[in-house]
Amino acid sequence: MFIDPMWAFGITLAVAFFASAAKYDAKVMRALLSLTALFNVLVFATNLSRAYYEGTFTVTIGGFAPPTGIGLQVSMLGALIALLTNAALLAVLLTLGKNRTGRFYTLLAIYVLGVSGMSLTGDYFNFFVMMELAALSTAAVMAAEGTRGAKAAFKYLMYAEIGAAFYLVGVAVLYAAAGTLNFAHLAKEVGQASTTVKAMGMLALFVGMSAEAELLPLALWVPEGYKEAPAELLALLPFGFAAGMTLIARLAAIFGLQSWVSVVAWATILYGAVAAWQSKNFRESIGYLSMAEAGIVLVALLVGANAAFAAILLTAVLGEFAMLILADGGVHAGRTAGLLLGMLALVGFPLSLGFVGEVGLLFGGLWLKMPATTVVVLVAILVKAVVLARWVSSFAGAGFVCDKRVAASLVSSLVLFIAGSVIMVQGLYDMLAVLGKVM
Amino acid sequence: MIYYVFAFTLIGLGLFAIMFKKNLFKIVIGIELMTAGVNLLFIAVGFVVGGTAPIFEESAKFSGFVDPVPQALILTSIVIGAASVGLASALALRAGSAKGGDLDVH
Repeated sequence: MFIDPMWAFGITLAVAFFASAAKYDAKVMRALLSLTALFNVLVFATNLSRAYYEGTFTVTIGGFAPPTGIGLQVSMLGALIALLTNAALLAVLLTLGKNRTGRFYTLLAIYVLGVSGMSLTGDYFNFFVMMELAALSTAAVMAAEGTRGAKAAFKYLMYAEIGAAFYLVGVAVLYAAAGTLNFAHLAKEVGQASTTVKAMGMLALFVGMSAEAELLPLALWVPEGYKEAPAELLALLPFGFAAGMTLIARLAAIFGLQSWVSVVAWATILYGAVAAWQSKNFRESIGYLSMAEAGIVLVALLVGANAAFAAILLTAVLGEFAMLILADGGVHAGRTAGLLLGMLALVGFPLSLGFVGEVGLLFGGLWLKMPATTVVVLVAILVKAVVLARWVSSFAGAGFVCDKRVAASLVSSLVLFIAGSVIMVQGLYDMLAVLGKVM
Repeated sequence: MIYYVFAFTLIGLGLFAIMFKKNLFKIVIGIELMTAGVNLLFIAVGFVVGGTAPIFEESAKFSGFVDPVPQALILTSIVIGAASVGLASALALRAGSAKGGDLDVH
């Protein structure tokens, strides 16, 4: 069974459009959005299944085949991120507070649409449109939390718009060189372009993507953004980061990664780890750790360890979701258990997907190719473990409350442990084969 | 060539305003300048000296057209740019309202 992914985009847009007809009624919008997220999970599950059996496939829009028309390029990783984003939205709608306006839910719908589109589009200008949809809705939702939220949203929007301008410069340079906007076609045509043009295009796209992918230089919105975002958006922010990383993976496949990218990875890892160590705010410190994680994901791409890249990226997304959905709330043992399991997955405890990713990275060539970077990555993992352990111990309290948020957090972490266990039981060879296919 | 120079000058001016100006609205103007620079860059990419509008007619030659794709892209970019500037202005007003209308970054 296969359902065209355009149904997911069409219905999400229709729900957002319907909001004005429903007079932005919060209850109606919440119910409609929950149903939409459930439908989208089903759609992307069929896409994931097809990508697993057939490999990456193209879906044309309006009957115009790429490169003339805009198409979706559905890989396993892209379908998985779109599926997880919609599942997370469903979890957020079912578990978090209900005192939001209809407009708030409309904006959340557009954010999820943008992130899903970024993961699946096969056209790099269309990627810009999806990125802007996600960025504008993120800023508008962030501003829902009063004046401090508005300040954080303004800061985020500035970085996102600087990124968007750089991204468009990259699009202009590559379009002039290759005459196409399609990723697959670009990979074929760009070989004839000069090295300088390719380097300029790659640099501009990379800088443009760094705000969403939480990499320096444009990731400086992260601490304030994570601190002030409403709980619903906070739990969904890691999925935007994952969608940003999918673009960098595609760029790496087309252009390769030059040596300056390792400087960005080092700077992001060190900045994120040191700032997380010093931070006194839980949300802010997870934001900084997310930056460090982005740097480690980039290192996996630099080494060419595709399996490790996918494992570390998925661990970062689900592990951070497990922790961020519990960001606000009282001190009780249920919350501590959720945070603990999320922490173990995120740190890379044996039998978790994080462990598989880290082992895959260390033995996948990192130690031989980049010995100094290995030390930086190991130090970052250690800092991550200490910072998270500190937070878990500070949240430990008497009385066990297992509310819906705790359940969502535990499910998210358990997925990482089950996936990691299955892969480890199968052995390293199979791990590389299965995870390598995700790309 | 002159279009490219203008485009990158506008992008540079916009970036300068965003990085060094303290007033939120001057920062928003910086975004607008960057967007305008990028739009001009796209137009320059598709421009053909002595080219004609890409409209097919029976009598027209099927060559010498300016590239219509960058122009189509820019229409999208202009709409998104307008939304960004509108939202940024609203956020600036909201952020400033708590400080009695003070719109400077401190």
